[in-house]
Amino acid sequence: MTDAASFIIRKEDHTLGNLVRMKLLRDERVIFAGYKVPHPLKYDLIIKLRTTKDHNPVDVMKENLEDIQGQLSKFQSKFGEAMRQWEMESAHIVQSHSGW
Amino acid sequence: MSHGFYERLGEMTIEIRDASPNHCVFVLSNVDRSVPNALRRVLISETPTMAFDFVEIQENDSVLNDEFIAHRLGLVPLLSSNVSHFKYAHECDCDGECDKCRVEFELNVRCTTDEPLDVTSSDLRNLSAPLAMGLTVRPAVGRDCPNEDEQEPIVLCRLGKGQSLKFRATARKGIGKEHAKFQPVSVATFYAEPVVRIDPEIHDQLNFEQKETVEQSCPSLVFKTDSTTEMLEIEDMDRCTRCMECVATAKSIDAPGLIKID
Repeated sequence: MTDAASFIIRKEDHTLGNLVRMKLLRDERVIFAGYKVPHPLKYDLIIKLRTTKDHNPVDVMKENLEDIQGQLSKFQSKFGEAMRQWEMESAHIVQSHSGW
Repeated sequence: MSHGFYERLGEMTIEIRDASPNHCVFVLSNVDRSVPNALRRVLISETPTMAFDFVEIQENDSVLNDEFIAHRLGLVPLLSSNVSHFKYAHECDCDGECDKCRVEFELNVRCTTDEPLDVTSSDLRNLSAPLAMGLTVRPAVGRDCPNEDEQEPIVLCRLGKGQSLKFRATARKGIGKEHAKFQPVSVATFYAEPVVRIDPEIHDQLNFEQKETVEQSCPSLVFKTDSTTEMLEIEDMDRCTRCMECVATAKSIDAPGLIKID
């Protein structure tokens, strides 16, 4: 049973690498997770992952990637909500001042 | 689904502190630092904008040479809130001239006065048809001035009497990774707000003078002492700059661990 895998992702950099690596480290099933950009002039990324013996690293990676997608779309909708809230509150303040 | 421990700290929350047409400050809680960092990196280098990419100079009597002017043109910021309507030039199946991937501008200025004339971004004329909803791509003018009278157009070059400048410039969609001219932001930063904690047990063992010493050691006035209750309290955690003076002072009065800063 393999418990380690190296993923090579092309055309990506630290933006994705660090995000995925930090997410993997927060997973209890992960024994080792690390990433590197082999050469700064080439857009390639290697993520090395080792999980506990009862889990498949590919499945763990997949789950965490889906989690990240979910977290980011939550971010997007929460940000939209927060902006609408802000706009409402600023409009409200302007309105209440003009009432004086 | 998540097995991590950050999720147990709580739901991700967003609080907007300030928002204006050119500036936004918000607080993001209960996320790992890699998330705002990834956002920062994407804002700087992967958010698309429009910028001049191809310049055909027809007349140039100015003191600046052709490529110099073309370089300056590339750096002129173009208002690009409708950039999502455009396709990248390499994705478009046109043969070079189309409205879906490019915006054409021209400029034709001649100095006829004795005084030198500034050729500015306001002299650029958009030749392409405006997109639906009346949105056009146009050069941003001036600094953060909402007031139209105070806006300053960007100077491209200066012409003396009798000198002229005439060219066609094409703007297209790109990202910061390709060229810095496509960067939509001048600044995108984040920092983790410090959480300052006073250990109650160690605190109760100190006398009022010691508490005052700790309070005064902070250059940012994070702490305050109450003379009636003789307590050391936190006045404003947001002022903390993590200089750790309070931690060092606590150690010097034999009370290490009094202050913890995350």
